[in-house]
Amino acid sequence: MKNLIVFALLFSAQIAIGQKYFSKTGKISFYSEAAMEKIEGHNTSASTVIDASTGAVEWGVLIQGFKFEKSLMQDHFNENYMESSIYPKAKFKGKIDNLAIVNFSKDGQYNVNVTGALEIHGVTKTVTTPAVITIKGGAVSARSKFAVAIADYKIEVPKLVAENIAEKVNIEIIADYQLMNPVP
Amino acid sequence: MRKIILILLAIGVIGAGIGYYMVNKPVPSLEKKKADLEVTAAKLLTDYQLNETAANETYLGKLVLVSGKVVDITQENGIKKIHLETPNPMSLIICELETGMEIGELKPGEEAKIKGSCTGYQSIGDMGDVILVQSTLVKE
Repeated sequence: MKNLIVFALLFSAQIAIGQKYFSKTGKISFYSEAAMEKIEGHNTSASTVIDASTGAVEWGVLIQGFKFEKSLMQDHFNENYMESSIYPKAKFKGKIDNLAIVNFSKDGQYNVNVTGALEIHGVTKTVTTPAVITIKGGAVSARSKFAVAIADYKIEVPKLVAENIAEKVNIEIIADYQLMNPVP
Repeated sequence: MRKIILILLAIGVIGAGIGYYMVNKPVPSLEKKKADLEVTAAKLLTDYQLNETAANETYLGKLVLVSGKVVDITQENGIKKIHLETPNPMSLIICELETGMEIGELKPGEEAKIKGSCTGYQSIGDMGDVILVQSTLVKE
C-alpha cells in the first residue's frame, strides 16, 4: 500500500513536470492581398512551446526560411522589407489568457485568447489574438489567424509599389505538438 | 524608317519579355551552385551557441556545405527534411530539402553531406537548431 502511494505521488509529479509541448515543424504563412498583387510566403520550420501548467506560449521563426512562388518576391521580402540579414528572426512570447478552460487530457476544441509580445523586424508590440487548441487522442495541436499592420513594425513600402503590398498582412499559424520529455 | 520602327518594336518586345521573365522567375535551384563555405554539423552548432551574432556574420544567407550524421529523415506535406546530429541532444541541424530532391538510399545513422542556405539559429528555451533551406544532398 505504501509503495502504491509513493508510486502514485511520483507518477502525478511526473505528469505535472512533463506538461510542456513542443514542435519544430510549426507552419507560419502570410498573405498580402493588395489591389495589384497577391503575395504569400510559407515557413514550415517554426519552433513553438506550450506550457500546459502555466499557459506560457512561445513561437520562433527564421525570416530567411520563408518560401515564395517567385524569386523576386523572396528577394524583396528579405532585402527591402524584413531586412532579414539585420533581423533574422520573428518571435512571440505570451500566455493563454483563459487557460482554465483548456483540459489537456480531454479531447476537444478549446477557443482561447493569447496575449503577448510579438517581435517582427526588430520592433516589439503587445498583441492579443484568438487561437484554437485541439486535443485529440492525447495529441495537441494549435492554430491561429491574425492580421498585422506592417507600419506598426516599421516596415516601409516605397510609394511606387504601395499598390502591390497590403497594409495589413494576414498571418496563419499551425502546429502539431509533441510532449517534451523533462530533462533528467 | 519602317525598318527602324520594326527594330525598335522588336527590342521593346524582347525587353518586355525579359522583364516579364525576371518578375515571374521562380526561386532558382541551388543544387549546381558552389558552396560558400564548408563546416561540420558540430562546429556549425557550436559556433551558433557560443556567439550567435558572430555566427550569423559567417553563415547567415550563405550557401553552406555541412557534413554530419543523419539522425532522422522526415516528410510532411511534401516537404522533406534531414536532421543532422550535433553534440547537444536538444539541438539539430535541420535541412529542408529543395522540392523534388530525392533522398535515395540515405538512412539514419549514416554520414551525409548537405548543401543549403543557412537561415540562422532558432532557439526557444533549451531547444536550439540551425536551419538550412533549399538544401541538396551532395554525393561524393
